[in-house]
Amino acid sequence: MLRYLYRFVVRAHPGSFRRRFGDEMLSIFDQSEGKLSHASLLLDGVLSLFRQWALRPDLEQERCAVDGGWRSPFLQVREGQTARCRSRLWSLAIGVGLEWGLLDNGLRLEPSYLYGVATASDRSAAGVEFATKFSWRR
Amino acid sequence: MKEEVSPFLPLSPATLHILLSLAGEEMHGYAIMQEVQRQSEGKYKLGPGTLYDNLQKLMDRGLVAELGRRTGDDDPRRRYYKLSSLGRGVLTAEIARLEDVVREGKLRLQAKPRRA
Repeated sequence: MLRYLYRFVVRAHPGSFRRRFGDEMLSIFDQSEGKLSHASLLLDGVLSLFRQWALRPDLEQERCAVDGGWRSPFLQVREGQTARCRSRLWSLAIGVGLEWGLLDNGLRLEPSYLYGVATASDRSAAGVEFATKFSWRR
Repeated sequence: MKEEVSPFLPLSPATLHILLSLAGEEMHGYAIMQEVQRQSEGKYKLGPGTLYDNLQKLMDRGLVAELGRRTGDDDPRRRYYKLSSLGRGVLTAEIARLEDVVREGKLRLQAKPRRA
């Protein structure tokens, strides 16, 4: 289940980033062991997804302009549709975040789970902080 | 040399750790993550998202070069990376800068505080 979600998150990254690093990210996920480790990687992937779409506008515009559209299973944009592209990308990021929040019961990513097991350095990871923001749903 | 590397300084912690990891030998992404954890004695952990975001920037700026896949590797999806000569120069300059910071910090902390 976690691998399926992680693969989804990797595939939702901008095309150039995904083609360059997607396989390696999945390779690292496959090499790491333990549910906590996989959950941390999933959180890292979601944060990376947000970072690549929202904080790397050069890449986004590049995606929007290439060949009149980016052929992705998630988004279709054409040249000159930067505003619409941007809103769709934000929608994607928010959608992934909401999906994460709804699924967290099944994944048991509550703070006590993470803080109880994680080391001090784990607790400082931004991904864990992200998880705590969704804990109110439970 | 200083003029060439000064636009890259100071380095972010993630960039510094990645360049330090690659200073010894060529590595794939997972090995870089493990090396960063070892260097920092587990205090600093890089996730793949952060790692590859930084690697992308470093490759675009010419500090790191991609070597591609290796035949006979355990996992054929792995790609190897190495420090370029520019990257080595930037890392050397950053270490020198940090040495100056440490020296200055020690001097200031050892000096007696002045009365107002």
